[in-house]
Amino acid sequence: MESTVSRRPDRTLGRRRVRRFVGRFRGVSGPAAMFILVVAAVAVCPRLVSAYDPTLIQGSLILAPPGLSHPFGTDEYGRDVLSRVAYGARTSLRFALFATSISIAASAIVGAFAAYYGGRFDRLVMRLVDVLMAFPGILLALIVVALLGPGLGQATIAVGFGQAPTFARVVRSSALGVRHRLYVEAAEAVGVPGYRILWRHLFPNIRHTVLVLATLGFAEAILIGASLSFLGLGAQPPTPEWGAMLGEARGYLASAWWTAALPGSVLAATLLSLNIVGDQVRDLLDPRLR
Amino acid sequence: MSAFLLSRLLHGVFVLVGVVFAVSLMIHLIPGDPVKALEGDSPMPKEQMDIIRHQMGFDRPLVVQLADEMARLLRGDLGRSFRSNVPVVRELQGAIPSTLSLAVAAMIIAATAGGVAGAVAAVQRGRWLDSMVTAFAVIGVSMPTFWIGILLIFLLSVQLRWLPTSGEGGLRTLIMPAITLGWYPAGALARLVRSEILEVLQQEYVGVARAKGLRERTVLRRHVLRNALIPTLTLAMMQFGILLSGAVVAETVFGRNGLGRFLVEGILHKDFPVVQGAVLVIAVVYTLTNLATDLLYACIDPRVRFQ
Amino acid sequence: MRGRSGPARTGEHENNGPAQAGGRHRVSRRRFLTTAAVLGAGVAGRGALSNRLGATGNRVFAITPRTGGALVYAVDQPITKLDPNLDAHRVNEIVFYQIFDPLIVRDKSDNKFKPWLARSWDVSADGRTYTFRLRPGVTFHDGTPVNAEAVKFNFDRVHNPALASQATPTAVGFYDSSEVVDPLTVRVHLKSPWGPFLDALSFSYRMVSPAGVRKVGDKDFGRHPVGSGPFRLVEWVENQQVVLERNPNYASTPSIFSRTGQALLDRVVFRMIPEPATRVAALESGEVHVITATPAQDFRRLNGDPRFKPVIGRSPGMGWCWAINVTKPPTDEVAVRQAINYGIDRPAIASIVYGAYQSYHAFEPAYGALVPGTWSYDKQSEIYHYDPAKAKDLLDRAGWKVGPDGIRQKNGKRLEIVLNSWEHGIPEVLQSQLRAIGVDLKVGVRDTSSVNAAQEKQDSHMSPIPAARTDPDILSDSFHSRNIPGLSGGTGDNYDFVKDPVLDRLLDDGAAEVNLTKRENLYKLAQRRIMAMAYLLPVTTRDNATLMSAKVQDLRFDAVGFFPWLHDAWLAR
Repeated sequence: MESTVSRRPDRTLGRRRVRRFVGRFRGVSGPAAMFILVVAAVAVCPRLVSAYDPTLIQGSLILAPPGLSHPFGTDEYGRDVLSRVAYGARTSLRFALFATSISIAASAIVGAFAAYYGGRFDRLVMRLVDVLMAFPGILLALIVVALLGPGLGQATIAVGFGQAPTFARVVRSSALGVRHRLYVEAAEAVGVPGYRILWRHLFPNIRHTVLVLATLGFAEAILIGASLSFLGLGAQPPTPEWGAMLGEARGYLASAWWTAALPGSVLAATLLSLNIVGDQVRDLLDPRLR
Repeated sequence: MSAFLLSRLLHGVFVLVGVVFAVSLMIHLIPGDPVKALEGDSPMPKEQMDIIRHQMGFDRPLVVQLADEMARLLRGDLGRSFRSNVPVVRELQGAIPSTLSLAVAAMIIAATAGGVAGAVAAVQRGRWLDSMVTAFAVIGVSMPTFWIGILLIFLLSVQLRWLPTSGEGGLRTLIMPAITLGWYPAGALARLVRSEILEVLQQEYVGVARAKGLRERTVLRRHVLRNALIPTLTLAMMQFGILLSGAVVAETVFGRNGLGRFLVEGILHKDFPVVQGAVLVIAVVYTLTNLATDLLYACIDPRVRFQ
Repeated sequence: MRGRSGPARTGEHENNGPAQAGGRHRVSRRRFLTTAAVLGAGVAGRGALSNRLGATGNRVFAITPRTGGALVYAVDQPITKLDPNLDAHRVNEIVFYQIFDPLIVRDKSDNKFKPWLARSWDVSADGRTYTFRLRPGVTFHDGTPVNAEAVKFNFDRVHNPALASQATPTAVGFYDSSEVVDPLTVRVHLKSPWGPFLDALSFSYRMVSPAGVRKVGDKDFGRHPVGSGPFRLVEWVENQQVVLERNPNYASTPSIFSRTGQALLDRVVFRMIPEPATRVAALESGEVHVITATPAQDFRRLNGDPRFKPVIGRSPGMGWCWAINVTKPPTDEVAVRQAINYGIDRPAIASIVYGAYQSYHAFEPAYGALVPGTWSYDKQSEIYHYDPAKAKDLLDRAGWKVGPDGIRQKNGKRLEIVLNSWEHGIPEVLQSQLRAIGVDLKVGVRDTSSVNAAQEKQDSHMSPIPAARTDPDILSDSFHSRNIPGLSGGTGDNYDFVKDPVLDRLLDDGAAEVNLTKRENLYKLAQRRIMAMAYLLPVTTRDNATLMSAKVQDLRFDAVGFFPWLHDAWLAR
């Protein structure tokens, strides 16, 4: 409601907010944020941690356990697992980021508009969402890939649009809860145009839901990427990608744990950190939790 | 109320027809020859493939094939599987109970574990229990399903010999697949429940209820949980729809005769009647769950009215 | 669709692996003494003991074959229909070979045909008429006789166009009619002589009961199979298991079996477990006795374990090889195709990808169009031994010069080749090896159907065409111009798009030749032609290498290497 007064907050207020924002990262969220920065840095420059070419096949080093020269061991082709994790960070994070951006952008817009305008528009949109949702996800992915060919870009589109209908429904139901709040109706009563009500009142009040969805979606995108890569629809050899690595390593859980457990731990730690930070940001953004 | 039901049912029929037609068109458009898919594990002479193509009608124009399939479906005939020659209806009779029992078991696990964990985390916000729940939820959503399945088999079947590795028959074969399948939605639900409860706790009416002097437990039960239920139910119901086709991984790992595996095998082998039949069932279940969700909304939230 | 179900040459090895065999015997003898002592004292619960010790001890008990017990055999794909006249999917064949018997059988020890349901047979001089004299007194599971009438029924059914049979080797063009001479003599007339006919008889053309077909109809017979084999169907649980029980009246064992009369096992349960990790777990937990397709890493891990033993069926025909598209640049240049063949180090690939199987002579390096061990295999076509210098020289002379990124170029085009596969492993190593000679191999690993479709649409240069078969006529499907996909709207398996009149002629003559010496020679020339022109990239053989419980005795595979003869098999306690 404060936002109706000044469209752009002045600088000092902004700075104070940022300081307050950063200051709120207490407890585990500090290390979590640090870990994300490290993973992001490795994604940008994989050479920081890896000394090997991630695609280098070495017949003499097949499934070597972790040691000094290969801290994460080597995989079934004698490739350095740490190097593959490092280069894979780039591929996977970019993939998940794009896919989630697609699904979040599409669902936030569709869900919020449907909830706000309601009526026939809402019914039409939700009917289409229903048809899409009744569509088995794997079929959608197969079709996108069949039409565009296999590859990471296509998988991004498939995952992004695959997630969007589900998210759109959640966003809509969350927005419906806000739709008839007093401040929305008050804004309508004084003649504030619809787009501004959406932007000023609806979005700020549903963005915590969107953020939770985004952190869930990000994790999910990486995992769906794993299934797609497993079906041969995602990253193609020799591109290292976390999802594909996890898929291929599943046969080695009993015989060479490091090929599965170490990349898996990095993935889990990354997602855990993202979630912790996501929660923190959510708490900070939720207008009523300030 | 009955007008609402009727309109929802009409809507459901629209969704079904839309989905089945779209799927039928798309499976014909996916590259790959259905006759080739019928070839065994060594090559077949071209003349023989031409005979099969003609017998199965794949040499006709796409429009004719599609019209033929739609007419058959409208007559209520799901046809026979190309691969097994068995009527699709009979194959579905085996697959549906298998998947439904798995999905329901998984949902019970997810709702119980996820719901309780989420509520505890919200009430204990910022304390160590909250962090624990977040960690549990995230590990749940950051492990590929097939890993959880394979690790469970390794632990409970190979090491401890408590449960059979795979197959179907009774509760013993349902435990591991249900945990595997419920793991992901449990994590997702825990996080959502936490978030929703936190949101509701900030509402004016909660403040009012507290101010009235109601006991904290009453406030939680009457006002908080009830209001946090709506988005949670939406996600839970949607997860249920996803579980049906998403169960394919659990079904493959545990060798179950389920709908998801039936569908994916159908797609990979270009077995059109199988794909159509499976998609039809998934769409029907989806539509019914949706309807049930809407009805539940109305029961829980007095603000939502039938329109 | 080409063999997806994994490993599938002749000959088999059981326990002839290095070193361990001897050691294992010593251990089991010691354990046997312990077991015998306990049993002799009459104290311990036998169940618990045999659980722990039985598996290893049994080799000692295994002096006389034991009757009884249920063998559990895990397969990797759904069993769909058990109808040998209409189907030839490997997983179904594994099951229906136990239910239905053929007229004759190939003996892999001498590569000759031996009698089974047919007591004897002869071929007319023009190669167009075959006369079979049947073994008397054989009945189907439903009691009806296996006679000339039934054999005629089977031939007519396979070749009835209305039934659109998918039993693969049964080429359509050659069959004319069958004639009942007397109740136990049947004469088959061919339109033209067809060399692979006897081979096809030895594994396809298994005899089904005409009464059984009439009872349920052609379409449903696959779910209600009635044959004359050592086992018969008792239960079918969709996508779960198929249960067979011993045929008590079985008496038609071929001479190549080690025993006559009925089978030793009471039951055989075929369980469908698609996920490899789960199949291995089921073997480890003792739920199943035999699994198809053990992944190399688990084979390596469990091979030394005394509870298990390796079982290897070496498979003839075409191994792990990739068709090279000869119409799409740059692989339309013979120099490029030859360079690829010289540029790969097959022994290194075999040891990286299939290292665990090497000591059992499975998944070995392959250099020819057919794998060694296949009848008519041509040793002289093994010309492409690893020679990177020669590969580079061939490319240099063809105008492909090394560019700034290490990849060769000609007229501004990079040397990019698209290779698809439905299995990881070989493609990754090929990619890394070919990079060293300046070839950029783009790899795609996806499902069989998409792989085949991509090659048909000319989107890829190389597509895998493995095919286990005992007869060299298999080469026609992949190299004869009439099988080029897209011709007259249909699909064929000639994924190299080779249209070579010399080769067509050799393959046609080979298919029509009845004289074995001449026939063998024609196929040797065909193999030489294929490799000289480098239409194909052979990499390794593709065998049936797997593990089974040490309790299982006398389990052998047929000449294709993939199909067990469970009649002789038995379970030690």
